[in-house]
Amino acid sequence: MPRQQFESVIAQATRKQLKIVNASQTISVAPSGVLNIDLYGSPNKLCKIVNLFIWQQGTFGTTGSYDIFVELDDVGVGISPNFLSKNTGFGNTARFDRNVWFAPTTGATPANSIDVISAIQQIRFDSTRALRIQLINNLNQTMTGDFLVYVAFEEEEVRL
Amino acid sequence: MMAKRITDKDEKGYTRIKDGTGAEIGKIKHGARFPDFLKPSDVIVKPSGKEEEVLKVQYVEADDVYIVVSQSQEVK
Repeated sequence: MPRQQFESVIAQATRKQLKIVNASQTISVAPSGVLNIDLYGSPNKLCKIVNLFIWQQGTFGTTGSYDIFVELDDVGVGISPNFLSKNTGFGNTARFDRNVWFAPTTGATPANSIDVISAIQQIRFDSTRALRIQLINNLNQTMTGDFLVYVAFEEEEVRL
Repeated sequence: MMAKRITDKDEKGYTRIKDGTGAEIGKIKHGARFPDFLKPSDVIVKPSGKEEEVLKVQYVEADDVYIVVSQSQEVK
């Protein structure tokens, strides 16, 4: 998916008045290094994931592999750890939403997509439990570039 | 100055904060928002013993969301 198309998907979600958080990071991750991006929500509200967009751009290597995990930190109800692992070419975009998940170039096995979608929809983050997007560098070289993460979510009030 | 080390909750659900020598310098009440007191170079110690160094803490006011970026090393 070209970046322009990716951005139009984000814009479309915005028009639906979903909250969009840009948790992007320019990174340099050493071999075996792990980058964690954690999102903590509002107190007394549960944040429900609607869409998660991940885009990477930079010299992430053409050989070897890297893993991306999405999980609720410390609870471990997230996606199967290997859902995007061991793919030399993750491509440059993955998208998850209610109806479709795709990695338009090479990437994860389509057979995993149902699990991915249902797992995503189970995730709620709040003020004490984080949505964690984790990138693990399995390459034998340092990964350098931009790791762009957009999270679209809705809030549910929590009655105390 | 040595980085703060923030460990996960004690038996009462309080979060311990230690200095770089490991001495406890305070606790955070259960229910407090975890990122409120995080700063870059702080070290979060997970229940598993895994340590994560905080690189950036960003508060997105419009959405009332904290983004915490941290880095660690995979133990193989």
